[in-house]
Amino acid sequence: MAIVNAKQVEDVRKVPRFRSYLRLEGKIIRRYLHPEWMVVLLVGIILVWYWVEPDSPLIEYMNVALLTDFFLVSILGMYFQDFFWAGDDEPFFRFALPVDLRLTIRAKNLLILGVLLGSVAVVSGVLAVVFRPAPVQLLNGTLFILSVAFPLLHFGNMNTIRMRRKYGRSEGLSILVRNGLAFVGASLPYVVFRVVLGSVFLCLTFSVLAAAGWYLYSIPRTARLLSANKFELLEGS
Amino acid sequence: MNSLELRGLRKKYKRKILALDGLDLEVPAGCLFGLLGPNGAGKSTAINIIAGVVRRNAGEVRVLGEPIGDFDYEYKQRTGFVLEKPVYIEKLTVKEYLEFAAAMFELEEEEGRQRAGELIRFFQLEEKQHKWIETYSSGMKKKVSLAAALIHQPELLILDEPLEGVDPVSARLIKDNLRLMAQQGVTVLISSHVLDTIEKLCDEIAIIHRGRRVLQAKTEDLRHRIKNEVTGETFQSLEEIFIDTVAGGNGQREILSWLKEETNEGSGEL
Repeated sequence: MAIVNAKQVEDVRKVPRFRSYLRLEGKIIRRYLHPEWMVVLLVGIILVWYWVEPDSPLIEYMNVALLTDFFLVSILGMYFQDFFWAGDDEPFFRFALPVDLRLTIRAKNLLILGVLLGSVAVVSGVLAVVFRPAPVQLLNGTLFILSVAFPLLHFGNMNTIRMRRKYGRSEGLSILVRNGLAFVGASLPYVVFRVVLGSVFLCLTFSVLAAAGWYLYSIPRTARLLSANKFELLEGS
Repeated sequence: MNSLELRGLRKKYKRKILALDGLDLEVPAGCLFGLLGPNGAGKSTAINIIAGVVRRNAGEVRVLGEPIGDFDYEYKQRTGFVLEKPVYIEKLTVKEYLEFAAAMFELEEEEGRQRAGELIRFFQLEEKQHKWIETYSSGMKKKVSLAAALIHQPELLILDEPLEGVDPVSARLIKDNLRLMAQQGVTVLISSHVLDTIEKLCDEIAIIHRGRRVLQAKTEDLRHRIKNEVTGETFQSLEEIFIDTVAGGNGQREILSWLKEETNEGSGEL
């Protein structure tokens, strides 16, 4: 019989776990994400688009992407900031089993980012085909998304450390408004660096720093706070 | 050596409900250990504290020789739990859930897949393996929890009412395997109301009442006690020992008033 020492055992058990987390979180997001929201979203965007004159000066920087993202982030808000509450029992599942909270948060954040980007692409595409607005600049669109994404993820991470919110009631509306305001706040660096100062470099540097902050600060801090508050969260589940 | 030790465990819930009042417990390594107690005795609270999902007010928990803090979770890699409240996300299939559990317990992907498949077959869940867990019956959900507790070959298994709602065929298979695991050195703590199961399955039994341990003995010693009783002593079964321990032997003999009337009008006998 082969004798396996402790080091070998460790090697055998070392697996790319992050892939498993991504796979699981992907399934959870898919199953709890309601596609009917997208229809509401599209109708809302079309109405606003009619309301805002496409050739007004305002639209020069409040372009398709911005309007689209405003609605996306507002509506996807629950996935940004309540990601620990896909179901009532999710916190119990996370804390009763040896789940790695950092990997969970990283996976959830990346997936919701993917959902956001995918939704932006689809909705912007539909708008571009139907309304033929002024051509959306790919560079600006990319810079904009990069600059808002990571501050928004951090905002969502910090806001997930609380009891489950009740959507569909009056507080749901206030959450929607707050998410919209957070989005406007997160857009400021883009407005300052790109629109006002016209600098691609500053905008890109800000985005890189924001991404580093998300990875090095937001994820560990969120994991620590979730862990520290686990009994309170469990009582609320 | 003990696989699990509780010292002076105390838990008071909101509204001043005292669930545990200085509970002490020692579960020897490699033992099939039965935890008995009436409803509200504190069994599930004690298990939830060990699992780190309920905060204790005082006391010490040692799992596999190591003291456990409220925020430790490394010990869960070596421990399997079936808790009173289900530990899964209902919109997953059993296969997805078990494969993720395997990854959490740091099994290789292929190994995890293989064990998940074997557990699904073992617990006879093949028919519904592609359905979400939320569509399962309560017995099937219990099997899912058990499967997740077993997938990483834990050294210590802590099971809260593991056979509740499980069909007799599966229950027998589970009991056989628990016995085998204990023979191979795994420590198994089972909390249950089913005295018969505990008596037949467990090597050692503890009874807790009002958050304290009131009796702990080897099942063999209890059997001896029961045997003596047959020859003229007080008790005839574990049930009687249990009732005597938690209710002083007289708490369970009351008869509903309308039944008494019926009985008196009829034969006069129960």
